[in-house]
Amino acid sequence: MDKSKNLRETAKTLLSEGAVKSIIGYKKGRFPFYLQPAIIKDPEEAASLVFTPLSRQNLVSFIKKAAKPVGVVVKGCDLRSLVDLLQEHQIGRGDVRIIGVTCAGVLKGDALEHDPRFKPAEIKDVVEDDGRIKVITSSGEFEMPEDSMMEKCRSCSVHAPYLYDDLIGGGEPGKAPGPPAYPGVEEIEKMTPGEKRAFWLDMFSRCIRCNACRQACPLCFCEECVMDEAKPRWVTAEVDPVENLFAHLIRIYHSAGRCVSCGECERACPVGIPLSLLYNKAAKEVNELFGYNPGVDPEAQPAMLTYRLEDPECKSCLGGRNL
Amino acid sequence: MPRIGVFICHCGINIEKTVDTAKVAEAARSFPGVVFAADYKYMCSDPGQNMILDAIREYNLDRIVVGACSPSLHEPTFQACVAKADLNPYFFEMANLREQVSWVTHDREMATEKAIQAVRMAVAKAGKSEPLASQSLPITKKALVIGGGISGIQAALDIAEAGFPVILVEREPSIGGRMAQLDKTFPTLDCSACILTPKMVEAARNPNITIHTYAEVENVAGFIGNFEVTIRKKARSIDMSKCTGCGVCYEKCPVKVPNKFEEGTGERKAIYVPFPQAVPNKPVIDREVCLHFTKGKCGICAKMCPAEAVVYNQEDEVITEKVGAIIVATGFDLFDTKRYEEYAGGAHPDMITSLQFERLINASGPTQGKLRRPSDGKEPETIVFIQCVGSRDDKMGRPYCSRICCMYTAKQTILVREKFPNARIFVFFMDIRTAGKNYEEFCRRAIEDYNAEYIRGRVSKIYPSGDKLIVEGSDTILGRPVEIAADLVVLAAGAEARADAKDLARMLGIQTDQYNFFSEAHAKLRPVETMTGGIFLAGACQFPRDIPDCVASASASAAKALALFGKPELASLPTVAKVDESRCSGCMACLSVCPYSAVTMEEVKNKSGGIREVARVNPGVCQGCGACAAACNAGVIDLLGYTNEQIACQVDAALL
Repeated sequence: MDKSKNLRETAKTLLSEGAVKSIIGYKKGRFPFYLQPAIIKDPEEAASLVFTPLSRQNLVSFIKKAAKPVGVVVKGCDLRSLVDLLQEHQIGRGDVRIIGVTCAGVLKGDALEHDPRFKPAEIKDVVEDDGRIKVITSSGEFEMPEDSMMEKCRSCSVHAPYLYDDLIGGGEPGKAPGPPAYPGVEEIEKMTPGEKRAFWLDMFSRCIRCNACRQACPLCFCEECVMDEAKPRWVTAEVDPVENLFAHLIRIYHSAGRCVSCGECERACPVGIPLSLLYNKAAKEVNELFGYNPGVDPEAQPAMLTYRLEDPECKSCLGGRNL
Repeated sequence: MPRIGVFICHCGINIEKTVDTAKVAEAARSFPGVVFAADYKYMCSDPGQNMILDAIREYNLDRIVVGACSPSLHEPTFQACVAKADLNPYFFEMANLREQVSWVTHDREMATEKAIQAVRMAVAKAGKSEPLASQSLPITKKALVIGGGISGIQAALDIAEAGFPVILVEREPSIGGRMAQLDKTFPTLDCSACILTPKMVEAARNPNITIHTYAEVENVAGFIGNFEVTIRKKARSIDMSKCTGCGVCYEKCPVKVPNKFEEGTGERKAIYVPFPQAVPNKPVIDREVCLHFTKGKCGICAKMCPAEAVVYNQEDEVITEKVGAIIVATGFDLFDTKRYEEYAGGAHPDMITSLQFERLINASGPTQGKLRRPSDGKEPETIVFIQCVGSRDDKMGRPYCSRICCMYTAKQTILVREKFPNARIFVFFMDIRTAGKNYEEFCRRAIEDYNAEYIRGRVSKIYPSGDKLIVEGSDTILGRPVEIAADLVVLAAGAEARADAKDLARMLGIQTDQYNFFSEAHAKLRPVETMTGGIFLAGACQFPRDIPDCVASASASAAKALALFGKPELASLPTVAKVDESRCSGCMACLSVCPYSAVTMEEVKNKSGGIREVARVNPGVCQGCGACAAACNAGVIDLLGYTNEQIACQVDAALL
């Protein structure tokens, strides 16, 4: 099934029938190896929408400012952040039309640039063909290897959305997913505290405090971020490894129990800090401690806002563990 | 720039012996904003307070920092002091140099360094303080008493006598509690029922007291002066307005089950009144055993009732009441003596608990007061009492003394002797604890006049042999083993907290100790108050107590409630949470974590006309716990008096 065609038809109908006032989707960008987010209001603009293995962005990030009711194109993984926004009263269920798309996985940001078989300038199109990703270039067609997909796609359990109003791409609807696989976290956990500190200080020495991670995060919806707050100045804008680490620690604590491991922060980071490792570690801790898997049930009470008698005491349950 | 005065207290030698207070004052003089600093022996004394007042005038101070003891002790003292100088009480800040510094170390040098840091933090916080004011709040002058035993009855009567309405909630079908189960009472040997039932009747007749029996408190919301309580009145299956209490229903009921009131020594029917003097003296149907409910058959009680008062389809009734004070008087449970497996495997018909003994010797009990061996109905000739069963025993997790067992055991030996002049009565004890008016004399009488044979030592084993129970123990005074062939063994079961005490504590927001007894606010100086305003403790729910102590604590808790009701209004807490609505994104995390339902979701208009949802805190309901401020990711909630800015300044000062 041609997902893009299916998507365009659905979007056009929704807009022309007035079911939604705007739709957030993907359209082709300046270069054939990137897609860009598009917010369309006119039924005619639906023709520009596409869904390909380059549909990387989590479009839920744009939902708050769009004209309501808004249709939003979501992959199974993106859906989790939408569920969180529903839980956190950032959008009403009646104000959002969930256009779910079945997805076999999307490419890493640099997968096409570094492939030795072709030059980026030769790329004509990137398509999904029966679960495989194919690059069509002026010098032929190439199948992309599995490791060219984003880390989260390779352990994905939500290829089909489990909550939607429209399902693009056909197939069976998905099941509510279990916790993500938290790829890469185990290797970090094996490090000694000293090694971890050295590793992360090295990583955060790269940070230029551009805040792209925050801007890309679908759950960073605060009217004013505490990192921008002047009174009190919790964290300075100074680019310094310790100050940088502190800024990121604030983000980790603020997203623990909410972060759905969509990977947008890492994708947006211009200096390649493996932020997913940190956020996945926090998500894994919350899941192990409280059995809470965010982004699944819009009616669920988030782990950090609930107290249950059986909640473990951190002292005893984390005592002696190498965090 | 604020003009801050710093005063360092020696607290006699409590602080001074470990902290160089002069050095702390000297260091404080260099802190930003500090224009005056001094140290003194007792800052809380009149001369100490005058020193503060003089310095405010002389140096034109507008912020005061005192480095002394815990704020929970003297913050109000110093707030009142600065208020005398027309400064807002919230311009006062306290650094705890005693509990958090001098009492935790002997290292004078490091303690002094830490004290300087604590004062530096307090100065930084004081520099950012804002004037705060309280609002006045109404008080609902009505009390809720949870538990209708002697403590609850006494507290209810005292409050009602003073002219205020009381709601008395009891989960059993009758009020009366443990005292109703007892035969005679020490040290005067008057009959328990004879002195209790007049009080039960008085409570029932008092127009200021509303009694809900067979009812439980299901939820408590609100705060001191303004609680809202949800009470579930379980379906009694009886129309109380029609029932005359004639008793024909339970005479005819065919179902017999063990009676909880009789501690299992007797039986009751499926429709029953727990004991003859019950208040209200109207039955209740136990739906778990009634044939009508279990098998859909029978219906004899309804057929026999001349008043047509049996209502099988009655439903639970849930009512809400507004009250200003709550008195918790839920009493105690008995230690489960079956846990002592060395005592005849934990159970034997002729081995009974002290409370079963009370029922078996009671004229209204299942044997009409004729004490007989439960196994064969024979008169016991040798009776062994064993004290401290589930008391003073670390292995059982009950290291505490239950306080009442020495006295009731002495009483029980006297009661036995009166029935059986020739019986042999033995008591195994660890120590005899008889501190109380006329208590020691009473116990001596049991030993000397009533010839109870007291043996100091523990019992290691009890086992049946023929129709006897062999009690093996040791006499630690004579240093030799003892073996007694007993007809009846009475175990002085210790008192423990109610099995569901923790649940009630959680519902009320009060604390429990390591044994789940409810905790008082201060062991010595606030013995009947809890840490939650407006909630008081009475009787054995706090710790094992005998009747006189229960009644005393009940009257004390009533006095506390009445002191509250005597006020025209309450001053609300000034240190409440406040949302900066312009920066609130409306995620409502604050609403989820607020334990006082003080947060609501409100719609506000943007300047461009758009509608946004934001959180708002009702300052009259907020109790200043700060949970919302901590939950707010955007940091747009400030706890006044502890604003984010003040805390950030403290952190910065600590990191200097």
